Amino acid sequence: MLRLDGIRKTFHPGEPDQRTALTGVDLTLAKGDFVVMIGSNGAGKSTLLNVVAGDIAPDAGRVFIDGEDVTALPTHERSRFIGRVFQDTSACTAPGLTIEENLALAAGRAKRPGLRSPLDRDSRARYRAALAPLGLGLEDRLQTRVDLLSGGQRQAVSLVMALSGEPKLLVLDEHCAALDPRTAETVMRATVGAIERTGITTLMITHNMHHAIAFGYRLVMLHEGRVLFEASGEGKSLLSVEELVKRFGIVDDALLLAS
Amino acid sequence: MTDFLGSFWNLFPVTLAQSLLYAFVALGVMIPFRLLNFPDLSCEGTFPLGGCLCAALIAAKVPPPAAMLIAVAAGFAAGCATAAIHLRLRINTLLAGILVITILWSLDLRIMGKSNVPLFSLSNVFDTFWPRFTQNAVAQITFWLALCVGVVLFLHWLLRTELGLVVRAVGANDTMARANGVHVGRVLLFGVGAANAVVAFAGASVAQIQGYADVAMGFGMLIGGLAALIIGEAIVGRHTVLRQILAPFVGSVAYYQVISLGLAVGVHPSDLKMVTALFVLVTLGLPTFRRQAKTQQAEPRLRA
Ligand SMILES: Nc1ncnc2c1ncn2[C@@H]1O[C@H](COP(=O)(O)OP(=O)(O)OP(=O)(O)O)[C@@H](O)[C@H]1O
Ligand SMILES: [Mg+2]
Repeated sequence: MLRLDGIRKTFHPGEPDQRTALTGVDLTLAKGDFVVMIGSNGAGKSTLLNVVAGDIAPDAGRVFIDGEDVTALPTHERSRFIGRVFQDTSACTAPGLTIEENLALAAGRAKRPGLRSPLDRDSRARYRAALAPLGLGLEDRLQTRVDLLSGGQRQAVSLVMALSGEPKLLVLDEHCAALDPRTAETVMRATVGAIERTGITTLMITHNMHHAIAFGYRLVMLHEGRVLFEASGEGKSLLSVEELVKRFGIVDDALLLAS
Repeated sequence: MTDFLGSFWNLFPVTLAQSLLYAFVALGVMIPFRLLNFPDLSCEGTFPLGGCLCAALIAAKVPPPAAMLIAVAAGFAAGCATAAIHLRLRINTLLAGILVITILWSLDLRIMGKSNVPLFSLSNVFDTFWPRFTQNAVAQITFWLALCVGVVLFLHWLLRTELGLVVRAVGANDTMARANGVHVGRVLLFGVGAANAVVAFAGASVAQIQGYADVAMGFGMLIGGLAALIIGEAIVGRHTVLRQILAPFVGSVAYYQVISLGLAVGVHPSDLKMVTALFVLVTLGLPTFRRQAKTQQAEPRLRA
């Protein structure tokens, strides 16, 4: 489904502020796979997702989706089959537009926009049904402009947007990090529910070690721009937070705080 | 006292007709600045391009409607050029606009062969369907008002279609738009092009109504349009699509009446551009100024 082949990326090469973010990442997700990615700040996780989504062109390596080499495909064309939530809570939604308009835009992303009205009774009912499980009451606020929502509420809308239009691949970059603990639980449960229901191939980043251990079929740890450790099946279910931290000696405040 | 009110009142219909026409310049400023989030200065060049090209073509015996159409198309192309310079060469949008304005200045002179072209003795597109249109204020008000209402209704419909949603998304958050399948570059190219087509239309209309085109006719167009837009947004607001579309029209009407009133009370015509620029400066600067004043006020309280 998704195959990353030797992805390398250095920002500002040859300049004083040169930073190497990815040093050869190989990662394959089978169809229906649900991979959780962890790693300390600056490990290169977001950079890797941006490479997958097309925002960042890798210096070397190739990205395949469904066997097709998409390395040179621009973001807007890839977005036809990638649903995505960014780490930044204001990145995924258009501020001047209402919740329903944002959802309509996401729902229509695989089609060429026409002169039809994007909203009707059916679509509104669908949006309400999609927002209700999040338990944030957003289903009753379809006509609210998203810039009037809190960061967490926007992230919840973004999740629904990412899932709409039946993408082949879902990429989530700490989409619950900005949410209060209870909302984070709700949104995470809704996320996992949707992933299991649709069987969508997913790559999810989190700093919450409990989520990392509890959810997903495989765990991948990224460190200094490469995959340091992978666990799946029984190996993954037997992991504990302390063990993860101890085994890799990676002191990461965010990891510890989250656990 | 009553003297200046009298002269203001006498000019009211003419000013109204003029302001409804210049509303299209304000619209051509609003589209890139507000809808597309692409600060575009090109209207300063596409306005005279529309006027000069249309005048030169009419003077060369091209039928006025065709001349007008060509002028509008040229405005579209010039707007696209600004957008393309920004998108392809990654040059700042303001600089891209200035480059296009500068090129257009020479182009206008080339097209006309001199710095202005009179049209008084020639027929124009308005006269062909409304005899003596240019001398008839009521006819002008009727026509421009109808066109303004039509354009507002059209845009209000368009911006709520799927396509309109895409356009607004590009202006609100281009990262989000890209992640939702929108070819942002193409939207900007067409959007900025369309805005400048509207401006060129205004330029071509002005040239025909005032009876001549001049290379310098675009000077101050942007600040004027911006001032009208800001006034309109102060009056009707901008927090819904309809209000944002209405703002340039309402603002233009208010702005030109204020100018007319200023002239009536004795503001020197040559000071008008400065007054307008100062108005824009104050309006744009006021929020920052207020914020600074507030934090300075808040400080002693914090210390206490
Ligand atoms: N646009 C950029 N320009 C320059 N350097 C960058 C850029 N984006 C990321 N980097 C650098 O690349 C490295 C990896 O960053 P990245 O954002 O991928 O980390 P991350 O794993 O997502 O971290 P976090 O957990 O804090 O989100 C960092 O050293 C960062 O400074
Ligand atoms: Mg990150």
